[in-house]
Amino acid sequence: MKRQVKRDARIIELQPLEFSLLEYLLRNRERVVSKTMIMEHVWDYNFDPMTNVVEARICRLRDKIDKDFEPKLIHTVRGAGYILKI
Amino acid sequence: MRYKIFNTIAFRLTLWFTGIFAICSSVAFVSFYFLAAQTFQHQIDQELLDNTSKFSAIIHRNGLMGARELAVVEAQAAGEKMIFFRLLYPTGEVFASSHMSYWKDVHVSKQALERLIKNKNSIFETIRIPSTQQKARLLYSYVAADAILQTGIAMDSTSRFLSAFKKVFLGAMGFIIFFSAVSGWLLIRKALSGVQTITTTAQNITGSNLEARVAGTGNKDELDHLVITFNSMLDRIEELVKSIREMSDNIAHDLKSPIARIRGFAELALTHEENMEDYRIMASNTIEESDRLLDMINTMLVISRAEAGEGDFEFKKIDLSIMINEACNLFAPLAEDKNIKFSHTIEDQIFIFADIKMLQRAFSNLLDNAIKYTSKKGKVSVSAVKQKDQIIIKIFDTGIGIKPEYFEKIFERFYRIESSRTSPGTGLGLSLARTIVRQHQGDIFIQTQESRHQDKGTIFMVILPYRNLEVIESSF
Repeated sequence: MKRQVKRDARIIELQPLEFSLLEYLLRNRERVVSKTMIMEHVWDYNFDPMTNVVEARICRLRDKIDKDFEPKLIHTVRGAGYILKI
Repeated sequence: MRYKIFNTIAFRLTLWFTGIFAICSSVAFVSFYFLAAQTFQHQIDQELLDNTSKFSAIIHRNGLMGARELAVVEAQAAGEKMIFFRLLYPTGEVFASSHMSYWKDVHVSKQALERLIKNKNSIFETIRIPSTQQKARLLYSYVAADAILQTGIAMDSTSRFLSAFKKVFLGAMGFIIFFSAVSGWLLIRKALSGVQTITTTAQNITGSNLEARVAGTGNKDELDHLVITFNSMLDRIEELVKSIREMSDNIAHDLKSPIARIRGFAELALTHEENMEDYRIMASNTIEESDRLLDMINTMLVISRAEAGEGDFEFKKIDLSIMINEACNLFAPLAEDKNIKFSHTIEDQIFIFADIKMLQRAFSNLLDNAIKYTSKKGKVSVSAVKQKDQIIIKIFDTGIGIKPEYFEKIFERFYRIESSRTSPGTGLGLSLARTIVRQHQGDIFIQTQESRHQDKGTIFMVILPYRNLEVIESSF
């Protein structure tokens, strides 16, 4: 199965983990997803939400799909998690 | 605490002690008494027989008349109260005797005569003289073909001796019992005095005062052994109480800060007129703090349930290699952000029975720590190798290092080395990791990195038992 992400006709190279994160955010677009939800549903993990694993991954994803584009898609909801707005 | 004297060991032992003494001395007395009585009787019997042979000899030489004289003379010589002689025909008719006023109550026993006539053997008899109640020993014996001698000796000196002996003995017995009771009581009290010391010490020990120790005697006896055991038990209890106290201090401290912050946010919201956005921020801060608290409490529950053997672990066949690789991939960005060189070499296909979620938690905690405590431009590497019967996973970092005295401490719940208090974390991560690994029959060890001059560094080594699952499965 070939997976590809494009924005404004530009192909964006995503790592598998980043791809599945984006996919999850898209499936739940306009809804707030918590860090714990991401850990559980994207990576099938449950542990200490105090680590910055999710932040780091979101940060990378933003660099690739939001940095050079407007409007921004991924937004941080403090205390609650992240939301993807189109 | 005062206890009834009858319940004391000292009392019971004294009782035994006294009883045994009394029985032993009674046995000694009774045997001596009978031996003495027997010896006396034997002597008397011998004397009676000697007299009889004297009469036989006289009759043989001088006829019956000689015997008549001899009876009188012999009785006078020995004392007429002491001895008597009576000469009879086999019919029982008396034809001669010594002076009999003292012995007149003593008659000739028909039964004895009949038996003598029948068996021809001398017959001994012990009787009591009816008038004086004295004991006497009699002998019936043939002294000639047609003459029988009945002779008797008073046993009053013997009985006097024996009754005196009895009196002396009873006195001695009383003394022995008294002496053994007193000495037994003192000895046992002395021997058990150490127990009293231990009891007193134990009574003085309360929750707040665990420092008291029993002074050992140092003579390596059972009580000294008890004292040593007791003291080492106290050491362990003191240690435990101390660690429980420390832990509850830490819990209180760790619970206090987030709750104080939550309260602060709420107070701010009340006292300030803010716009919607500020309220939103306050609410989200509250959620973050609450999440932290909830996570802490959940982790605590997982640990204590697992330690109590009630953990909800689900063991399945998993590929540990994949799990570790995934965990490393997940944490790679964190290391990257800190410019840490992160590498991993994982042997392929390590199949084990494990609870994957739990092991993930354990490993993510270890990886998180390794990255957290390694400074920028440091190095973190993970390796996993399968050996014959164990799997060794090493998580190596060039971080701040851990002093050996903390190796055990850092696995305690809520324990955080002072230097790490500033970094985020609950102090539960390592405790949880070890609990999980131990539930898999493994363990976690720490090694400090030596020979590296620029960095101290730590190796966390996770050892899990390895069983060849292919072999196990095919054997079913």
